[in-house]
Amino acid sequence: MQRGSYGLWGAEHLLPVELHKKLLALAAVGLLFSAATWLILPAIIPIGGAASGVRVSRLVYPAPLARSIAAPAGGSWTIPVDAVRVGDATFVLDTGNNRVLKLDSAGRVIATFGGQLSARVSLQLPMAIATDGQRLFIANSLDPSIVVMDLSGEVQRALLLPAGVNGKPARPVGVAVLPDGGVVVSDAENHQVLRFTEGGDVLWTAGTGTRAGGAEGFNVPGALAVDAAGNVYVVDTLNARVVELSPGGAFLREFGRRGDTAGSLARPKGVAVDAAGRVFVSDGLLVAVEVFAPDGRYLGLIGRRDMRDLNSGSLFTAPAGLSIADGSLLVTDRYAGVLSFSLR
Amino acid sequence: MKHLVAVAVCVLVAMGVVLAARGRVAFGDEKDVTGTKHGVSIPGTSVCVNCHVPHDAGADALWASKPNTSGPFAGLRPLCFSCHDGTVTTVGTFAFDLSRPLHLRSPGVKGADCDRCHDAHGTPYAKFLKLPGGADFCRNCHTKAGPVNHPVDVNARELGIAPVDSSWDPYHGDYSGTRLWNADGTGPGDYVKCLSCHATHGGTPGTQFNTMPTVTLCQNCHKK
Repeated sequence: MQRGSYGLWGAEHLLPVELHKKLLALAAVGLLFSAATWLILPAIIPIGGAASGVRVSRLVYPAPLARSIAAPAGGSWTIPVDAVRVGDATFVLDTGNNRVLKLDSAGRVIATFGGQLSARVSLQLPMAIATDGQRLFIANSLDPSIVVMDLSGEVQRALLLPAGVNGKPARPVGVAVLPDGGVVVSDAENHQVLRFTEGGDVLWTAGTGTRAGGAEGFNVPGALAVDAAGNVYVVDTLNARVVELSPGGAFLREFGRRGDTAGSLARPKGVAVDAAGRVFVSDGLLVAVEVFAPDGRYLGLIGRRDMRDLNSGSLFTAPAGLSIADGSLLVTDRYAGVLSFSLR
Repeated sequence: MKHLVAVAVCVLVAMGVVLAARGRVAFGDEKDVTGTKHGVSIPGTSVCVNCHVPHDAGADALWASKPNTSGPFAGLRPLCFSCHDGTVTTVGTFAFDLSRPLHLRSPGVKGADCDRCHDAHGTPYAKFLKLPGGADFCRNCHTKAGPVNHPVDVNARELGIAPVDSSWDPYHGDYSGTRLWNADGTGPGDYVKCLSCHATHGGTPGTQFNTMPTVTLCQNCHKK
């Protein structure tokens, strides 16, 4: 083999000439491949799913801001955490004031449910709200229970959460309603997810009861969502991922990886799933909502001031709860209020 | 030529060792977070990654992102709030109500943000405070308090003085009241301390972090 008269970085006699040429050829092929991947493909393939059909940056998802309520008319809120929409009404969890605000379609407060709701039930740091269209389900974190009320604020019942395996009182911070009327609840204190029947019995529990990861458990499970098939999506806060469970509570897969760049998760907060199976995850440190395809592919993020520009700053300050209704994604931001994005 | 390359490699390695050592001292990495309440990782895994992101990091110094660059929520606050928001913990959630005054800080400036008083890597003192003092913690910096201003460290009940409203429980929306402390300032008692009248988180808007509007605060103990 001929010894080379030059080598990488100009050092003499370090590499044979043939090997050096092969390395340069490999580098050139690599550069061409990278250019095709990062520059050419996004320009010709519409990212954002077939539903949108809009060509945008590969990192920004085409969901325009339809409406934003920084503060409700005729009232106020302090650090709202979550919201759901039923018909024309929006129910906002006013966590800092331990109450629920009912807003009309114009964003005006038309009713307030809070304080001592009944002889035995009062809201204490409520952290999540869900609906089946007829009732509201509220995760009452400091009085470990799920408060069930009708749309006029009349309390129907309270599902009491059992203590964990170590005797620690539960602390529910996530709730979702299943297609069969059952309810799933996340217990952040005991690192588990509980599935209640409509009658109030615990059908299954996922998680070990202590901090865990992988397919075995969670490290502070938070917000929850349910798809049409009854699969459960769990924000696994400190594992920086979203876990999908089967209707029977078995681990199916996970979304996201730890990081604080687009496509990764740093501090996931809220989760929602639409009819097409797209998974939306709000992240408190990325200050955005990230979108994943049903197969887990990253599709882009929502919440930039200029929808086409990743670097145009966030519309959010501290995005938290997510819900979907009538083709819109409802994002509750603890400081920026309630923002609605069109998914059509 | 080979000798030159070898020497250069040796020099670079030595520089790396020195810089790494300086980094450890400068950033306090020697502290053990694992045994503290911030040791929130799964046993056997890194505790650092919950705040420092070694891969896919978009922010300086491998911190989890700090995208709010201005306004009252800038600096370290988003990182602290990302756990102290009622999800990972309920401790200190009231400290993030932006409508209430917060002790002066310089967002994003090391040692002058939330880390002016707290060190998340662990300290010998409660609440991750960097200095001792309990309910008289303020006196570590505000040294004139005491003989010059309102007396502190006095037993109020022995003097026949007791607040009318002695509860202050921001976790349940109670932001009003004058608290008396034990002699160490670590729990309820009979003594007047800095935190009897002030709250560095959750104070009354428009005051010097008072737990009540000023006139009401005085009259809460000094009844007419």
